[in-house]
Amino acid sequence: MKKLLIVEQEAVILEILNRRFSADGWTIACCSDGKSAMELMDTFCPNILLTNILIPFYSGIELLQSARSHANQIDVVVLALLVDDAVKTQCFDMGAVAYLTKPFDLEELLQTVNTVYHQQAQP
Amino acid sequence: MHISWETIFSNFFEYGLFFYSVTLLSCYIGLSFFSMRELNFYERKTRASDFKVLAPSQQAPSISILAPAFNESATIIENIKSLLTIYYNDLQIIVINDGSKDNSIEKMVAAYDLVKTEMEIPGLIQTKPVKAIYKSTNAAYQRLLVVDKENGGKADSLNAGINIASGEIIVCVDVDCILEQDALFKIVKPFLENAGKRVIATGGVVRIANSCVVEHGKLVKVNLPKSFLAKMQALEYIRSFLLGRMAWSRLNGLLLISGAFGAFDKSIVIACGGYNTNTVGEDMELVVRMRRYMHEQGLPYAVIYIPEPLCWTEAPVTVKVLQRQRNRWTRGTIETLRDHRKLFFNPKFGLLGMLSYPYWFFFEMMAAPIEFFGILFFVIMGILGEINWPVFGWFFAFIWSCAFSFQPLPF
Amino acid sequence: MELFNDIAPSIACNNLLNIAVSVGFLKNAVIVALISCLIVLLVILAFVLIRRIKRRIRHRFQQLFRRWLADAIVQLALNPNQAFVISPQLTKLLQKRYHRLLALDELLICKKYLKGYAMTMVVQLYEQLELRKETDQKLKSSIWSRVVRGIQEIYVFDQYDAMDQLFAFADDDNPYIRSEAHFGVVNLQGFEALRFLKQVRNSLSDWDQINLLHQLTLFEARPLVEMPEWLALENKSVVVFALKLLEAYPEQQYYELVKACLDNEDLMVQKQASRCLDKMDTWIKQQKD
Repeated sequence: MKKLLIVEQEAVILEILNRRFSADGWTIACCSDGKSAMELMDTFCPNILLTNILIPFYSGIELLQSARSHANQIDVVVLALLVDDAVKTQCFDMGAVAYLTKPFDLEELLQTVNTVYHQQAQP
Repeated sequence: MHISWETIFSNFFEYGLFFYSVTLLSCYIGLSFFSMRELNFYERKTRASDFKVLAPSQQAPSISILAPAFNESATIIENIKSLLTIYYNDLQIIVINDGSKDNSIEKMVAAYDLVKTEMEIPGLIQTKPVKAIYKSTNAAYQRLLVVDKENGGKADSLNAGINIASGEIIVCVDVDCILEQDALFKIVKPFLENAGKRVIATGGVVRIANSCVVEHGKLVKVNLPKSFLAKMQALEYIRSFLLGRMAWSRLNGLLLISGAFGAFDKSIVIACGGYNTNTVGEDMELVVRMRRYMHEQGLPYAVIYIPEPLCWTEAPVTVKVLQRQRNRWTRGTIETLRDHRKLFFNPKFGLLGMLSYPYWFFFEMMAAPIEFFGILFFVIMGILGEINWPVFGWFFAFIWSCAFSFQPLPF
Repeated sequence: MELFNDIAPSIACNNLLNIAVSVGFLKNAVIVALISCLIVLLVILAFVLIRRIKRRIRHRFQQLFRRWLADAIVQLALNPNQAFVISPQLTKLLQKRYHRLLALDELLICKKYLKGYAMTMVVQLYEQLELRKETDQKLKSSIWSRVVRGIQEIYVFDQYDAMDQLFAFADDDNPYIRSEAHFGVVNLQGFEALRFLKQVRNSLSDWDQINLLHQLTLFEARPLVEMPEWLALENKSVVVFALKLLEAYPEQQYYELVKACLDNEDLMVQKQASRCLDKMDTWIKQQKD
């Protein structure tokens, strides 16, 4: 069962991501702020975390840190609002596997997440 | 007609107090009207813009956060950690250790891999001697700068920070304040929206963090404070910020930006000579002095207030600490108004002299003694049987309904 | 209190006061006061309830629309050739202006954040639902925040035919309308749109300039042929912006013009000119190597 945790502030985008990934066979948990995300990481135990950077309570960077040090070694795909090289490098340094910017292509995002999942499955 | 001294005396108090109350109430009504318009305006403005574009921009102004610390070793590491998580492109965090008698410096050096640096400090503002400046060897903490100096008070520490700051805008915070993630964007944006007037200082709403849940330096749940004193203060803060300061911001008559969180244009601060170390109300004094400076230079300027909560602070819960705090605030107000008495009803200073200063003088500073004497007078008259109770009843009901309508409803 | 009665202007007022302080009246007055307090409370309660109900209606529609939109996009992804269908329930709701405006807000967010087929679908929907009418109404509004919103919708939904309207807003007296119009024209046309700089008499705020520079990075750089005219303009903020442009996209031919700006009376122009020169010097050196 492939599990994905999506953290996104805009409700309509969250809904779209939810539907699209569900249609592709993913089990989804959604939230729109850092605090719920932290809780869901423990209770839902996703394979992959898809998050923004600027979200309420905890920032995406802190979620990233938390995900990487999690027991399940959650892989993180960052979906940021802007191309900021400094933050991009910071994310990759902290262990993010992918960094996409908005506006994003839905299929491209889906492909990226699936690729990450397949890479996870390989030992 | 025989006019006795008693009559004159009692009439003076009676009509004087009546006149004072009427003026005060009209001022509140006026302020609430302006505040409403300003809040409306701000809400419309923010709905249309996306300020997150400010973060990575190379053109965005550089910011230096100044956080003076005195004997905060218990919480200093957590506080600095929360400051370090702020998302902004060109940011410098300067923590000034004001000659703490505890082991703050040792703790910081250990936690953040600090080493002493040989830095040239421009002596722009006179301060107590700086013992050392520390930088971190860890790349993750490269924004952090720690200044160790001799004890000189909050104003002196801030001045030392200003000397070293490299940012165009300085943000003065209390080190134990919790900042919202986008606080910096919001407080810096007014500096950029300069439509003819130069913005010299901005402030945001400070809210009470008592009984709120804080995790990892972030506020995760807002609760109404359990302590009665804190509850009253929370209400008071909301009223004073949303009613008073928003209105004054719209009128461009704001005299005070909270020392807990305020942003200033560094060049103007230095031109004014930095914070005044001889007063306890250094935050108010600086704003008044900066305004005065801009008036004297004949430059159009604005001091803006942002109605969004940007900073959370702990309010005193014991009467003793509260008393000390309020005592300090009042003393600060008195000292500031005394130092700048030239502004009193001085048309040369425009709104600042004709409206702001007198309002602060009569309704903020003199409020306490006038109200005290008013109550005393009332009690004396009551004992002497001079009170017309029905009229008193009407006035009382009226004031209470006004007070009720001015309190923000918790919806 | 006698003095107070003497001051009272007319006898009628006097009488009123006399009545007001008599005990009999006061007994009634207490009741009157209580009832009026109750009325005030009820009014406040009514306000709060109405607001809550409105909020609930809004939420319900938003959820419905979001779900439908998400489903439609997924349908499009899985069956690219099938046209999307708007359910009759939704069609009925979308006849009300309030719902159309809410739908417009959701579509705006989607268009801003999505690319590819999802984006084209959003624009198609905008046109199919004839939401352009709502946008046009906003542009005609006397409330500045609505005009700003209208301008945003124009450039987000790529409504190129409204470019002239946006150019007309470029020198509006309201700084927020101006700002949004500048952003809009540059968003749609890139460097071509910078011709508005000549017409702007009001100042360009720093915020404005940051946004424009950022937006221009999304377009291919073009030679800035109008630079000599811009640097000679009276509007100092435009001169500063032109210098910032040159700093970001240096061109050797304007070196002397920038140097001349160092003597400009405006401090900001001088400061920016010196920054620009430093950048140009580095750039020229890099070109030589």
